Amino acid sequence: MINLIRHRRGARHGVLALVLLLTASAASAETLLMPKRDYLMGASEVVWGITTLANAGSTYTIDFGDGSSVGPLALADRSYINANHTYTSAGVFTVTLTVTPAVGPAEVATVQVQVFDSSVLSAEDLRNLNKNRAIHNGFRYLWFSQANRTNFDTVHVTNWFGHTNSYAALTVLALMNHGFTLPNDNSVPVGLLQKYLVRRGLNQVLTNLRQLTLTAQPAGDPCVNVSDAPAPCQGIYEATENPGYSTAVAIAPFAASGALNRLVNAAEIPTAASCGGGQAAEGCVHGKTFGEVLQRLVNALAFGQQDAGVGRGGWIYQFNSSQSDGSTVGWDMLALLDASAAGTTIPAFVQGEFGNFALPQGLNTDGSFDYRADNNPAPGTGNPNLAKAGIALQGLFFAGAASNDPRVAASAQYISDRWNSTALGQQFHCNNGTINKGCAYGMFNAFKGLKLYGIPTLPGVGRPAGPGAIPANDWHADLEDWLVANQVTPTNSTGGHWGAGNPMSFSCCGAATAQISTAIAELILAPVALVQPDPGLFSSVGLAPATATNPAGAGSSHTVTATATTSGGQPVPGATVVFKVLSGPNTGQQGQSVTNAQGQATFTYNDAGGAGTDTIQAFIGTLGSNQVTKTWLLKCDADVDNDVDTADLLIIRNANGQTASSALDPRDGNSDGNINIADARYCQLRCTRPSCAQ
Amino acid sequence: MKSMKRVMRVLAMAIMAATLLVGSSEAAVISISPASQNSTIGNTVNVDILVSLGLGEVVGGVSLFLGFNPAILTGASYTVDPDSKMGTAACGFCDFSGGFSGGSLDLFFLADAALNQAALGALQGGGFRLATVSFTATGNGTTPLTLSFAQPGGAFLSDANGNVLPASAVNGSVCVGPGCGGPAPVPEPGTLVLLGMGLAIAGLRHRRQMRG
Repeated sequence: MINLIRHRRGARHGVLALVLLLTASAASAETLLMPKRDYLMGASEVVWGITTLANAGSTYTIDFGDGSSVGPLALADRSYINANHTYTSAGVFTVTLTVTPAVGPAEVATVQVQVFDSSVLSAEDLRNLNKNRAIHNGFRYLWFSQANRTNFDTVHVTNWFGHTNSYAALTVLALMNHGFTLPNDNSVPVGLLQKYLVRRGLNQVLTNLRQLTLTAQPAGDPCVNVSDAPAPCQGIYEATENPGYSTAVAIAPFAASGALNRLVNAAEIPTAASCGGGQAAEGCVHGKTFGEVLQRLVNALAFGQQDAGVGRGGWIYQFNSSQSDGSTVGWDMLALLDASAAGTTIPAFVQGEFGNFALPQGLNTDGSFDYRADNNPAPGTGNPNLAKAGIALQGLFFAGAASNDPRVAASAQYISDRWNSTALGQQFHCNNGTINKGCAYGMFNAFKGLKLYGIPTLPGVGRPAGPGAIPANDWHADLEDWLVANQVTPTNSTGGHWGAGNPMSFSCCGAATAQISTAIAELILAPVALVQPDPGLFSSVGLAPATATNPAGAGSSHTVTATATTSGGQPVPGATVVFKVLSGPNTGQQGQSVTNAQGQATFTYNDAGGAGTDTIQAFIGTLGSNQVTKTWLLKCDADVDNDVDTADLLIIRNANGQTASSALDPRDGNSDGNINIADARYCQLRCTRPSCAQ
Repeated sequence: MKSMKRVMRVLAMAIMAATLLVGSSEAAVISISPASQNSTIGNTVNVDILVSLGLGEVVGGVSLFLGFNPAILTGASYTVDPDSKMGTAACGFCDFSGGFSGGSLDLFFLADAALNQAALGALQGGGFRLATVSFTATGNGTTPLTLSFAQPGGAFLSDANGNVLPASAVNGSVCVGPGCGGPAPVPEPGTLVLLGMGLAIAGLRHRRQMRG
């Protein structure tokens, strides 16, 4: 701050400097609130935001939008401005965060929140509300618990400790799968989580990737779709942990980013490990698009696939080793399936090598999957557990096994039998002794495998039906119930996680942190098992047919198809689609299904409301499709105004002698293909009101 | 003379036989009454449009065009369901007839919706007048009175429930002017009448053979 007590010339300089300081502060300052979310009336909920203004001398006020507020209070932590508030009425409220620096204009941010009164909600709606609250409280915890929170605006990387790069990749993936993706260009992301968490978490991964020379393999050339193909070429991989799985985990957030055209910002990660020191330009992440980084990561993973012996076609901790490790394979399946969905080219030999060798060598006849592939299919061999049976499903899906493949049924049965049991021959429990609920690794792999095959229920789950249309033994609902019920202090400003071992542990062997438990919980609570579809495509052409017409009546049904694809047109399997009839005679009807290998899910419903036009929309999480319409045609309603009267009879009379335009022609009342006096009589007998009044 | 009378009786039998044959496959028959008549310019010409029904048949709706030569006749008035055998007049929303236009009368009317199969059957019996039509003779000559329905998907009649009631038509004629004094020309028969004619002729030949 310039001392303004000067002689006149100095004063003018001082004033100029002050103006410059104020101008600079106004241009760079940013204040943001949490994403739009739901709250429960009567519960003490956390409202939070951030500001780039300095703590010193600043104050803040939070107006909750319901006539109450806190502040002004001294700003102690600009990276996490928070307050608990209990809304006493339901409705939509605008929360306003105002941060006033010592000098300069105040910063204001607003967000709308929706508060629900549980006493007027159906059981199904209340369950969905609590799920949404758990998800957002978990996001808050991931923001709060990151390594570089306090300097979020000056340090362009962040992580969540533990296996630093892999946990960062999984956390970013979780956020992306809830729709917090990056723009598919070089623009600055908009939104607190996108700009300051997703972007920086991905920078963490990028900073620590390294380059690797990829040579031709016995199975084929791993160098595809890159400028320095064919082999040898430069691959990119994650070497600080165990590349067999850490490279795979690094692949996932790039595939899920929705930003393959986005350039790596060298200014944000100047010390990228893959760059400088005489390394090849092709392997340096600087200046590359996310798409190219992703391709080189995939190429490296293909390079690292085992080449021979038992385990050929699989992966273990180190590239080109001599075994196939079932737990590593799980991450590799996630990576390859996510990358495929994103439109990345998988080297041609990878699928066949895995499907013909490592997969059968690891699969057992009871549906279990080996820890280390032993080429012995006897049940119970190879240290199996529920998680690896989920990996088996993912492997079968990657290898192209149809949903009616008996091996799919066997693995699903294995999971079902052990859904609530930690015994039955299972090995390598999570650190807290759990195998499924309470074990992130088990839950996540079961989730991925079962979602990919669209398996909705398992008899061993033991969950009753409901609320709403949730069927009995819905395994995903069971996991959701457990996660919502076991979130730790979700309405505490430092809570919202799932514990570092209690109640949830990551795995048998990985570092147990509350952050990674939270990331995995968020992945399981996400509407997609792999990646989000392209929002522009889904919102414009995701639901079909655009229009349709059927005769009205209880025996008449209609089917709509939702298609989830990435921007490159690749199908997105494993996405949960909720279909809703928003308006019309069948308002309120809804259904849910999971996209198949072609990225499609269908919803069929019968006309229970009679004639009229329904508007239907599909949702993947909060991402909505285009709206389509379905007209239920009342026979004889020639002017399509939902009744039969003399106006319709006159239309029929004026069409006397014509042939019907189609089987749905409302003028052809008796459906004989012609329009004549008999149709007039037929429709006269079906007038909606006495004397056929209009 | 005797033989002429005999020929006329045979012809009448042929027509009746033809009618019966028509009734057995398309029992409803729409006809003009009188089938033919003579008039002079300036006089009113009245015709009835009749329907004869087979067992169990009822009429729930009528749609027909009555064609005529507008140079000889000018349409004056018409009444649908004059004897209230369909309840059309009382219905209030059952008559969609288009009326006269050039050389055609467009009739399109429904029975009262409150009259079901049984009620209509009780009213209509074996047949009734569908409509009465009045013309003014305005020119000399002979005009056929032709019955037709809209093409390609039209029909003359509907039954009580909104199904097509198959029907055939027998046309009529009117002669106007001083040259119309002789026997009325034989009206143009429907196709199946020819079969009855054939049978009648065969019967005539048989009698001759028996006599011979």
